[in-house]
This record gives sequence, structure tokens and C-alpha cells, in this order.
Amino acid sequence: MTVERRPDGLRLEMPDWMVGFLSDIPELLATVGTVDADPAADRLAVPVYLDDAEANEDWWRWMGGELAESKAADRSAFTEILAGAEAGIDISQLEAYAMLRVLTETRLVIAARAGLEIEADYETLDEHTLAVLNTLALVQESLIEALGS
Amino acid sequence: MTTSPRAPVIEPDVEDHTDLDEIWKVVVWNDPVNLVSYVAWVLRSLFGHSKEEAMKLTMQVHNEGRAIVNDGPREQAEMDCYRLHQHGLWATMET
Repeated sequence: MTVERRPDGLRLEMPDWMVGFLSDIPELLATVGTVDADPAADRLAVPVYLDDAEANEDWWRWMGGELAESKAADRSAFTEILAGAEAGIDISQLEAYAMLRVLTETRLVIAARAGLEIEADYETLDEHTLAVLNTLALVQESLIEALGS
Repeated sequence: MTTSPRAPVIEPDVEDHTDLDEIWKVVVWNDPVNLVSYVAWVLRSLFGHSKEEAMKLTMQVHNEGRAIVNDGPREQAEMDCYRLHQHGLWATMET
């Protein structure tokens, strides 16, 4: 994968397998909260007020809907970006930000469902989960590096 | 001769005013998933920290478990938490 800084954004070039792999992400994220006791849903709704349950409930009541809408917009942007990925993709800086947020959410969801809570838990992950997390991290790192260049 | 009735004196609610004036700290907590480079990028993007300051705060999160990344009035801190959660970071606020 290569990511090149352009005056108006970034140019991404990814192998077909990676485009296919990333294209499955919105479907995965759509499953969050659809099953009982989903650790991913808990991870994405962590408390803002640690010592005040009422204030925390208020915060989530006021901000939770907007947060969900913002994440849905990021996922739509992510899907549209990958839909035009045949011969490389030109994306704006704002689209790169949306991609980074979606990739982050995806890593959080996968890690939460795999029971990853502390650094040492990486040793308990199966090879597939580790490879998925690392591949997503590689894409993130490439985007961040290009954005900072 | 009469005197006009005096308006009742209402005691100001000192606690309410204290709450409005209070400075809230925005705290980012460590997690084993988010990349150091990503956290530093988020802090730079959202708060305008320099590269060095963002990396210093990120390493504080990583090594000490948490770092105060911004402070301000309650409404601003709540919005900061929103933006950090939007980026997948666990942020809380405290006085």
C-alpha cells in the first residue's frame, strides 16, 4: 500500500485484497450493539463522568445521538471512498480523517470482542485477529504519516 | 404615610455560580488498542498542540495511564469529550 500527499489531499494505492478487506468494515461495524452483552458496544460507550452517573446519563442522552450520526457519516464516506478504488483513490483531507476514525472504531470493536483489555492480552490473540489488527494499523500509520508530511 | 413594600431579597445561589465558573479538566485514558501515532495526531488536530506537546501528552497517557489534555468551562469540556469519543479515544472530565 502507498499513500502519497497531494496538494488537495492524499492519493491511495492499495492491492485488491486490501480494498476487499476494508470494504467489509461497514458491515462489521453495523453489528455493534445488535447482540446482547456486546463488549464492543460497551467500549464505544464508555463513561464521560466517572463519579456522577446522572451527569453521565445526561451526557450520553444529549451527545449519544449526534455521536452515532457522526460515525454513520464516517462509514458512508468510507464506503464511497472504497467504491472508487480500482486504479488508486484520490481523497480529500477530510475524507482521510473519516477513514482514520472508521479504522480506529474497527480496531476497537475487534479488540473488545477478542477480550483485549491490557497490552499483555495481545499474546492471547489468535493469529487471524492479530493479523487483522495489524493490517488496520498499517493503513492508519500510512495515512497519519502522509497527513503529517 | 405609608412606605412602599420592600421587594423580597433573593439570596444568590452561590453553588450554581461556582459551577459555572469551575474549570473542568479533560482526561484521556490509556487503552491497548489505539496507536501512539494516532493519539498524538488526534491531540494535534483537535487542540492544536505542537507535535512535541502532543507526543509528550500521548506518552504520558501510555506510561501513566492518563493525561489531562485540555481544560475549560464545563460546556467546553463536554464538547472536547464528544470530539475525543468521536475519534475513538476514551475521554472523561473532572474538576
